[in-house]
Order: sequence, then C-alpha cells, then structure tokens
Amino acid sequence: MSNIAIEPIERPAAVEHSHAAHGHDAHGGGHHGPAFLHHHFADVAQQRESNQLGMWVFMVTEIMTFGALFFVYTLYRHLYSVQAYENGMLSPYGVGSHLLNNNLGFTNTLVLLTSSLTVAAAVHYAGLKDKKKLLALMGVTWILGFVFLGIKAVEWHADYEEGLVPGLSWNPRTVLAEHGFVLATPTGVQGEAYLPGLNGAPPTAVVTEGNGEAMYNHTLETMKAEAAATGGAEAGHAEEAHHAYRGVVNGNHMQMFYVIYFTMTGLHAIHMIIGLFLLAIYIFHARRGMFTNEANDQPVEIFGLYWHFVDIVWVFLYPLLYLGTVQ
Amino acid sequence: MEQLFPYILPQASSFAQSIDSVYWVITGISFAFFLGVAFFLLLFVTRYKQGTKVNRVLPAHEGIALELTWTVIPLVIGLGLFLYSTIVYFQTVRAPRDATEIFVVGKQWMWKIQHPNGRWEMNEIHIPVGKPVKLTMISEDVIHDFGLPAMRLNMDVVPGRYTQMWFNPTRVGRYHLFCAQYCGTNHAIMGGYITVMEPNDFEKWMQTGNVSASLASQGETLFREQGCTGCHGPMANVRAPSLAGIYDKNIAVQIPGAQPWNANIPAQTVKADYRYLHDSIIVPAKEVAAGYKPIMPSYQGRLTEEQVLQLVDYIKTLATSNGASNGAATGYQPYPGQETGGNAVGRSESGDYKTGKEKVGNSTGDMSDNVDREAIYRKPFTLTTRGDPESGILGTGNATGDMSNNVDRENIFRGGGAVSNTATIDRAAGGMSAKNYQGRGGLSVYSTDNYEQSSAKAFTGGIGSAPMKGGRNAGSQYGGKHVSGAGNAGVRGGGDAASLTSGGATAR
Amino acid sequence: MKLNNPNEQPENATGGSIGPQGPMEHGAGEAQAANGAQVAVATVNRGTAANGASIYNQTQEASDPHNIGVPFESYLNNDFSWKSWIYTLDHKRICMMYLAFISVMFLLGGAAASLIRYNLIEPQGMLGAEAYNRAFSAHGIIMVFFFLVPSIPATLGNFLVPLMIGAKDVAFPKLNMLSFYLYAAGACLALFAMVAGGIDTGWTFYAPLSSTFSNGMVTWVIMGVFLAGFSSILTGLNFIVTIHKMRAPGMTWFRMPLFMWSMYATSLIQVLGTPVVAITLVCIIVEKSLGVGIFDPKLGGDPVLFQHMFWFYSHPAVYIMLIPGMAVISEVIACFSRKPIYGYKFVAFSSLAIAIFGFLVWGHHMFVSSQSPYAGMVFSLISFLVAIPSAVKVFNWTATLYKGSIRLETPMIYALGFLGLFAIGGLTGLHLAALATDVYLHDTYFVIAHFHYVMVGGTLSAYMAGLHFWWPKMTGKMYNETWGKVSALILFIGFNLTFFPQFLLGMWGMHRRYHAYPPEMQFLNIMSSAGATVLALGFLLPAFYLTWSLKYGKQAPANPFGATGLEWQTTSPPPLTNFEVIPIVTTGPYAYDAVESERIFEKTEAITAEVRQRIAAAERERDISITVEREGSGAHEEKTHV
Repeated sequence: MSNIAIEPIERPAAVEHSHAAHGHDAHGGGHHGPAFLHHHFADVAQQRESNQLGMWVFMVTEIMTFGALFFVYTLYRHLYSVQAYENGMLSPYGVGSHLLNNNLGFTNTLVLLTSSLTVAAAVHYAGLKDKKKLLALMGVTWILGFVFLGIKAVEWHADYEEGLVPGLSWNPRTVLAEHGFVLATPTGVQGEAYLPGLNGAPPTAVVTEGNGEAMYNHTLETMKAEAAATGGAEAGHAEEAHHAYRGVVNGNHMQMFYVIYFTMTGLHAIHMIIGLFLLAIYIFHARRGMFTNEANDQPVEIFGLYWHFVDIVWVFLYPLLYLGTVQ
Repeated sequence: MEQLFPYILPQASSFAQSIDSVYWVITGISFAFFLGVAFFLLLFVTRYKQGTKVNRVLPAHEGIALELTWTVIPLVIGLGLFLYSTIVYFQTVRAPRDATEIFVVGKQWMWKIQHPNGRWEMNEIHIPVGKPVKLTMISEDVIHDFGLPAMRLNMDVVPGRYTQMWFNPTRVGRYHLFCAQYCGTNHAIMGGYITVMEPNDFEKWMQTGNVSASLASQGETLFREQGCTGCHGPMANVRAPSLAGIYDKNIAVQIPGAQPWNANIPAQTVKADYRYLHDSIIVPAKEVAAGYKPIMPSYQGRLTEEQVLQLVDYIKTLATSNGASNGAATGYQPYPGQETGGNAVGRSESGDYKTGKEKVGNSTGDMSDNVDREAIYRKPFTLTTRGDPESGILGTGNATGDMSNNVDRENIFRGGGAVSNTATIDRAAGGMSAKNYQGRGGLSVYSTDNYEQSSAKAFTGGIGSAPMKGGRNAGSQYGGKHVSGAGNAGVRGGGDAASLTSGGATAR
Repeated sequence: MKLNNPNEQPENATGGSIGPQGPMEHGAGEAQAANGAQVAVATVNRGTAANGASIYNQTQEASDPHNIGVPFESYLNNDFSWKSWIYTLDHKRICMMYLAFISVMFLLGGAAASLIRYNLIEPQGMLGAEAYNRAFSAHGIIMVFFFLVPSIPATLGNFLVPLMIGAKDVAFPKLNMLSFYLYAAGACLALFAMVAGGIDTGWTFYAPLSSTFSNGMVTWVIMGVFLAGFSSILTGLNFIVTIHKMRAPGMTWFRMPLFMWSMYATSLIQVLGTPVVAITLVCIIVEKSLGVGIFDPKLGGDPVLFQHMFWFYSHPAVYIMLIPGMAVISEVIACFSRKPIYGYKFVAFSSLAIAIFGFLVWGHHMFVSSQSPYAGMVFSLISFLVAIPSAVKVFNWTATLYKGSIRLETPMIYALGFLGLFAIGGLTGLHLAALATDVYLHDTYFVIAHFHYVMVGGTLSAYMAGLHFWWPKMTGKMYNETWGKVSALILFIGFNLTFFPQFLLGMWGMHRRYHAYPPEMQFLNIMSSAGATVLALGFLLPAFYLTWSLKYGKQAPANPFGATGLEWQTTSPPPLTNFEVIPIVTTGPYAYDAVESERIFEKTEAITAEVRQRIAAAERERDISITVEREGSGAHEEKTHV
C-alpha cells in the first residue's frame, strides 16, 4: 500500500559468532543427537548442565524446607532449656533424646552413610559403562535404603507403643517413669506428677507443686512412704528405683520435641521413599542398559546428588535429635 | 459536609501530634515525589507523542550521574524519614515511672479492663485526662490488638506473653476502641470506647460501679488463703524474706539465667517492681533473693493473672511509700501454658460448620472456674439470631448479689440481663447499669453518642438488624437500625448457657 | 532482519538484527511477487525495530500467510485433540491453560471482592459476620495464592521465557506440566473447601486462630495452598535453569530483555521463600489435626513464631507478584516510546536488589506483634532501603519516555496507569515502613489501600498491559484497540475511586476485616463500593473483547507493535518449536530508535493519506458502478417480487 522504502538502520553490530558459554556450534532444529537428548536441548552438554543445575536448585529449596524446621527446633530448644533451668527441671529436649533408641539411630546412620558410598560407586561405574556393577550397586543402595526405613518403622512403632507419638498415642508417663523421670503436666510446674508403679503396676499420679526440685522431693517422699507401707521387700526395690530418679520434665515441652522429631524424621522418610521409588525405576532402566549403552549416565549422577542430600539431612538430624543430654 | 464527614480524628494523646507530624511529613514528601513523577510523565507523554515536531536526538551517553542522583537523594530522604519516625516511635515504647497501670485481658470477643483499685469494666476504658496510663495486656485465646486510633496506637495482645502500651491522654472525650488484629467471627464488634474524663469526673466515676474490693484488699485475702503468711508472715518459722517495704527497693538476687548451668551464681541487684514480684510468684526459681534457698513453690496455674495483680498490690501496701506501680515488663515472656482465670479453654472443639452439628458446652449452670464460660462466644453471633425486641424478654442472670470472685459477673455482658449487684452504679457516668445492658449481647456497639448520653440510649440494644421503632436516634448503633440482643443470650442469659453453645467449646 | 543461519555468518544486522527466518518472510516474499506496492511493505517489515506500528495493522495483513491461504503450523493448530492439550509439554500451551485457569480464579476472587464491597455498604454489614469473614478470606486466598503469585510468571512468563531467549522450550517441560497440574489440583482443593465449609482465617492463617479456634475448613484450604506453593517452586526452578542454560547463542546476560531479569529475580524468591511457608503451613495442619501445639502458647508454642515464618515468605511473595509486573512495564514502555530502556543495568539490578532486600524486611508486618522494638527498628531501616530500587525503576521508566516517540496504544495506557498507581502504592508504603506511623496505621484500611495500589494498581495493571501486548503473539488475533483503550481508562478511574477512599478510612481508624463499622465511616465505604462497580466493569470488558477476538479478531501479524525481542521474530502464534532455526543474537534487547521511528511515521502518514485518497477515488468509481448494478438488480427484484 505504501511505496516507502526504508533504508536499513546503521547500527554498530557487535557480532558474536558463537556463544562461549555453550562451547558448541551445532545448532538447529534437527535431532542429530543421541536418543536420550530431549528435543528442546541443542546438545548433550546443554542437557547435562541443565539437569545438574536443576538438581542443585532443587536442593536449595530442600535446604530451605528443612531449614525452616531446624529453625523451629533451635528456637524451642533454646527457650525450653532456659525455662527448664529456671524451674529446676530437666531439659525436655534432653529427656526426649534420652527416650529415643540411640542404638537404632546410630545403626541407621551407618546404613545411610554406607548407602551413600554405594550410590557414589554406582555413579562411578555408570560413567565406566559397567552395567553389572552399576546394577549391583544400585541394588545394594536400594536395599540399604529399605533397611533404613524398616529400622525407622520399628523405632516409630516402639514410640507408638510407649505413648510417645503426639496426637496419636501421647501418654509418656510409663516410659518416663521407667527411665527415672517424673512427668509434670499439664502446665509444667504445678499439677500432677507421675510416679512409676511398683512391680509393674501402672504409674500413679501424685499431686504436687512447686518448682522442679520441690516436685522431685515431694515425689520421692511419696514413693518412700508408699514403699514403706507395702512392706520390706518392695521397699528395697523402691529404694533402688529412687536412686535411678533423675528429675522432673515438662510434659508440654517434651511433647514439642516429639512433634519436631516426628515432623523432621517423617519429612526425611518421605524423601527416602521418593528416593527408593526413583531408584526402583532407575534399576529397571539400568537393566535395559539405558545408562550404559549410550553416554547417558547422568540420571544416575543426578539421583546420586539427591541421595547424598537426603543422607546429609540425616547426618544433621541424627546428632540433633538423638544425642541430646539430659542435663 | 459536616453530615458526610462528621468525624475528624482527634488527637487525644500526648504523642498523637508527633505521630501525625511524621505522617504529614511523609505524606508531603511522597506527594512531592508523586507530583514530580506525574509531571514528567505527562510532560513527556504529551511532548513526545508520536507525530509531534520536537527534537528527539539523544545526548551521546546515558548519564551515570543522573542515575546516582536519583538513587542517592531518595536514599538520604529515606534515611532521614527513618530516623525521624524511629525517634518518635521510641517515645511510645517506654512508659514513664508514674504511669497508672491498667490491666487488659482480651478474649474472643471482648475486652476486660481492670483498674488498680479493683474497678473493672468491659469493652470500656475510663481514664483521667493528663495522667499517663500504661496498659499491660494479655490474651486468653487468639491474638487480638488493642487499637486506639485517637491515641494513634495499636498493640497486639498475644496469648502467653505480656505486651504493653502507654499514652498520656490530653483531650477529654469518648473515642473508639477497636480490635485491630483479626480474631475470629465477631472481630468487628470486639471493640468499645475509651473515655477520657476530667480528673474530678474520673474520681467520681471511680467510686462507683463494679468495685468489688480494692485490689490490695483482695490481695490480702489471697495472701492469707494461699498460705503465703506461712513463710512470709511475721510469725512464720520458715526462712523466707520479709516482704514489708520491699516494693520498689533494690534487692540482691541470684539470677541463674545470667550464667546458665553454673552453680556459682553471683548475686545481682534487681528492683522489686511489679515484674519482679510477679515472676517471684509464678517462676520463683528465676531470681531468688540472695541468701535464701529456692524453696518457694511456683503458683503458675494456681493463680490467675488478676490474682497475681491483687497480690502484688497487697505487697505494695506493705511498702511504706510510693505506691505507684512501675513494672518494666517489656518483652517479658512469662511461660507457656499460661491460663488466665479459670477458663479451661484448651482448644475449641467447635461444631461442624458444614453439617451444623453442635457441640454442647456447659449445661450445668456451674459457676465455678472449671466451666468453659466463653463457649457461647464461639458460637458466632450472626446478625440473624436476634432476641425478641417486641416482648422484651430479659434474662435473669445472676441475681445473688454475691460480691465475691466466684460470681460470673461478666454474665451481664453475655446478655445475662438484670444483675442485682449493679444497683449502686452511677448510670449517668456511663457505667455498668443493669438497665443499660438489658438484652445486650455482651458485645460492643458503635454509637455516635457521647458518654453522657450513652447510659440511657446506647446500650439498650445488642447486635442485630431488626428495625425497631426508634429510628436513627433511639439508642441504636449502626446508623439507625435498631438492634436487639446479640444472639439469644440476651433473652435467656444467666448460667443457662447450654442452649447457646452450638459451635461452642468444651474444655479438652 | 536477516536470516541468521547458524552455519552462516550474519552479514548485516539491521533493525532488531536478531531472529530467525520465519514463515512471514516467506509470506512477504509472495506478497512482493503479488503486488508492486507490497514490496515496500516487506521492507518496512524488515525495518521492524524502528518503525511505527500503526501501519502494520493495515499493511501486514497482506504479508501474512493466512491471508494468502498458505497454512502454517502454529502451536495452536498443530493438533486439535483434547489429549494434545491435556498431555502437552509445550510451554505455550501450558501458558494458555494457566491463563484460562487463572482467569477463572480471578473471576471467583473478584466475585468474593464484590461480596465484600456489598457487605460494607451498610455500617452493620449486609451479610453478617460469618459470611463476610468467609468472603474476605476467600478473596485473599484466591487472589494471593491462586491468582497474583502465578499470574504473570506462569502465564506470560511461561510463554515468553523460552521465546525471549531463543529457546525451544523451558529446561524441564515435564516439570512445567506438573507445575500446572499441581496448581490446578491445589486450586480445586481450595475452592472445594471454600464452597463446602468456607474458611474464616483470612489469607494470613494466623495461629492460634487458624490452628485452634477457627471452625472453617482450614486444613483443606491449606493443603490447596501448599500444592500451589509446590507448583510455584517448580516454575521458579524451571525458569532459573532455563535462563542460565537455555539462552540462544549470543544471548549474553546483558542482552537479555529486562523481562528476563525480573523473571530471574522472581524465580529466586519462589525457590528460596516458598519452601518456608510450605513447611509452616504443614505445621498448622499438624497442629490442627493432631492437637499438638507448635504455635499454641497453651502447649508451649509461640504464636509469634508463626508470623515470623509466614512473613518470611509472604513479604518476598509480594515481590513475586510485583517484580514480574515491573518486567512487563519495562518491555511495554520501551516498545511504545521507541526507545531503549534508560539505565538498563540499573533496572536489571534493581530487580535483584528488591529480591534480596525483600527477604530482610518481613518484620515490618510485625511492628506491633510484641517483637522487640529494636528488631522493629532494623526492619524499618531495611524497609526504607527496599523502597530505593523501586524508586530507581520508576525514575528510569520516566526517563525512557524522554525524547521518545510515544504511541498511546492499549498496553501503553495500562503501563502509564501502572506508573501512576504504583507510585502511589509505593510511596504510601513509606508510611508503613516508618515505625511511628505504622503503629498508628497497622491493620487499618490504609494498609488495605496501600497494598491494593501495589497489587492491583501495580501488578494487575501490568498484567493487563502484558496480556494486551502479547495477546496477538499468544493467540494470533488482534483485539479491538478502541475497547482496549476504553477499558484501560475505566480500570484506572474505577481503581482510584475504589481504593483512594480507603486511605482516608484507614486514617480514621477503620480496621481491616471488619464486617461492621461505625456509621460515620459509611460515606467513604459507599464511595469505595461504588468505585468497585466501575472497577469490575474495567475487568469484565477485557474479558469480553479478548474472548471475542479469539473468534472474530483480525489475524495478527508477526509483529503488530513493531517491537524488538526474539519473540516478535517468529510467527503469531509461534510454531510448536518456537523458531524454525535457533537464532543468533548480536545486539542488546532494545534496538529502538525514536528519531527513525518518527521519520517513518511521517512518511507513512503521508503515504497513508495518499493511499487513502487513491482508495477513496477508486471506491468512488466502484461505488458508482455498484450502485448502477444494484439499481439494476433491485429493479429486477422488485419486478419479480411484484
């Protein structure tokens, strides 16, 4: 419609022939890469870099996720320790740790660290295109992961039985009494404290008050009186039990420890389950030679990153949750 | 325009003016910036619209200087504003020594205010002009916020910890009190009025109304009942520090918190102010008087906050002089599991909203502290459940005249109707007359009436929307629509809360 | 524009100097052959960057392959089966699905907003507390989590991020699809809960109200928000990797359009912030369903901790909403003033600065929450600092207009509206960053007005600008320009009518989330409600004419606004793989020239006038002949009829 002729505009054209970041010059719409190269990537290098960066960014979000929980953990640990000290009571986090099964926790740590080793070896052999060793190591990793979850399940079940699961079976009187602690509830300083029952009897409630020390003394006196009333043999037993007494713990605060414990280990276990699920798929692929026939070992490497991350989270969880001291 | 804008927000506190000047300074600067940007925007858009014949040749390079200019100038202005506003703000943080301390408890959806002499009020706060007031506040359930726009103040009222605000009222009048933090269904009507009075009027008002006994005398009773005399009394044989004259003195204490987990605790000096005495009752092991053993039991959970207040006031009277309370409880975070009063509201076991199933709350008529009396508050007072304005049926409420603490005196606010023990109240002072509260649902109302008139008019209705004969003037709130009892509480009232507790709570 | 075959060296870079050989070149070639006059058109087309757009609507039709019957395959028409949409991995189709879903959510959130304004007509409230609380909670939750957060990143961002950097798709198309379906599932879950039982906690879910005292369907809504948060994380992750690794050869960081910088900053916030709020919401669910007290003071918890964790995300989330809006504005202003953005690097880095500072200011929501006054002081200081980059952006945009060649088309009107409204919103933020005035204005309607000026006046204006700007590219259809301008004006006016009175209400102490209020505040509330009807019209109009354009709109040319940027170098709508050939980038993003644009505009005006004259003359001749024919046939008809 117009007969205008536009002259090209002169512009300093900083011509760049290739993009240094990519380090390759083959572009184009054609799919001239290997089969595992997705169509929207220019070449394998780009795909590899993208996958790797994606995994790292994902781990950053995971760090923020767990970081929030670590923050909650730290804040309450500080608050409660100070309060417990002021009230002459025991640190609820310490008592909570004490009641956890450290043997199982330690075993689990070993299991998971070993699985990290095997997954690292798997990544190595995937790079060497050694299908047999890759499969074996992936299988071992899977089994170790499964063992971890199994041990965790055993632990949780024991916790449930002992009445240590907040909201589901929260009734820690017996187990606390067995370990020589007096549970103060509900408001911490005054109220009922629970004594261990003699000869397997259910714990009895003693109404007591005061700070931790007063409560402890009162409880001790009550027990002695009870034992004296029931007779000589039991009195000796009771005396023995008294010596095992360690102190009073705030029930609400200890419950918070277990809320955090179950949230954190639960979240960690969800990550483990997802990892096992992925690993099962990868084993299936590996059997068909997907990672060893072509130079497509990267999925194994990415999975290794994920597995290491889950492992590292546990490395932080274990000491924080299991290794607290009662004092 | 008077009709349209009848309400110019008054400056009713000593720092309202300085806060307002911060406001207007920022507004002025903002406006200047906005005008500048808008001016250039419109100028450029009109001048350089496509087709206009102007010079469009740009200077050779972009000006770093220009960028720096418009980065640094706002930065400097921003820092200046920050300094200015922060300086003004910090005036509002720390209360002066001679401030009168008033205790505020927020719960869904009402305010309870207690004066030092034991006078208490609901959703109303009366204070004398020209005398600084310090509010120490705590919530019993969710987070509320004590909002006083006329004082230019808001402060959250948080469960489990004390918050404070203070101001010096400078202007006589009656101003709105709002709950500023969303707190559930009836958040909007959790409010009332703050009434600033001439000192004489205030004295008169103080003599009337809901004074059961002074805080101190209540505290004396408590001191006896709770067995404090056993150790702290003159005849005690347990070794405990004497409390006579202790208030506001500096005393030596052992503070374990200063060096945790260390047995050799050096003595430190603290002032035995409200904060200290309160803590010594609730968390005695925290700061033990030097030379004494930490044998004092904690009264956490056994005493309500009000009772602690009463005790401390009693201890003050043991002091020789200087009765003004001066608690610097800022940031004081007492303890978890704080229970104020006997309301065993662990958590509301609320009714199922969807199916409309109701949980039955307190049906016993029990007046003791174990009853979840707020259950009815958790039943939403929708505007559709109204009382019967035609028949004017009123609740019977608690007519025993019992002045002790066991009486649920707030019952009238829940629509309990006539309460005999209010017969002595000076109605003209806007107090708590039984008549005024007839049929009222216990929730605050908005009224444009000033306080002199309020007794006769403002409170005859509760929350509701049923139009009544009155029209705009007749004691109504909400612009002319008369309202009747908020919820059926106004009709049935009393200890018979059972029928009202749909959606309410039981203590868990 | 030259064909930049990667195997060849680009010989000369003209105009945009970026971009592949698209079908339009092909079409233009045919047009050249068809008509002598079209040769020049094709040349104009090549001079894209400097040219005024007004002539394109007339001229490019001829060069468009559609008009000459050459079918070309776009992402929209390559497969029409519903399965191809459900299972699509294509970022453009995912964008369209997001767009549809988000529009529905916006409609629902808007409906809730209208309930709010309806309720506040009378001082005692028209709906009652229960219904009102549910309405404002639904409004907040839908608008924040299901509209504003995904609005620009998930629609325009999804569409443009690969296009603008010359990639075929985002780095992880499957994650992109997962992101959409997570969002959809979350939205459905939340909507279901809001319909079935409602939620009355407000969008902030403050504990212990939400965890212990609320009797709404809090858990389900929170699950929905959690899923949407997951979706948001995945989108952010995808964009970060895409921007890092998928850029076309020659597309260095400083050759990226500012849109990309903003999307990068947004993605950073999404990736870093969202997990925290997700875990916080999980804590609320745990607390509510198991009866334990993570934030309940009665069980040893700390309610203020919830606020810290919530705002640690939710304040940066404000920037998730806002920064993409700024991104759009940068593109639109550059294009319609025919000038490169003034201070490109300052604008780019100010986005990052906002994203980083944004993580350090959450405490200014909590000045009166019983946090330490000294903490408040620090947060106040950083809040003042975070205002600076925003101000720098506004100044740079304004300076961009200087000596431009400004065309006031629909996107530009929205963008100018953005500048005004965002300036007000940002400046009133100073009142809330200052400690003294925030203590006064905390949780009043002043706050409401402030963040609506930022979120609606800012983000939503920008969203509308972007939607209109890229609508031809996304759908291949032109909307009606007149309606566009009218509705942009209505939006601007309606917005101010609605929200300006709320500043005054806030000063008078009307607090937010009140279903009833003192009667003396009724007048301003009625003003606000009345303005809201105008505002609603401003939103409904585009919904109608944009939908209308899908079927009846004119075919859009490849570059209707004469913009630079890779996305304009491909067809409208783009083909499935975005570019036939991966482009090589040789210059910066805003190769506009106002002087050149003016020159072309003048010439075009002259030519257009001449052409019009000729057409008029031709039509006059034709009219005469037609009239003659008609008269003849009419006479014939009459005859037969009779």
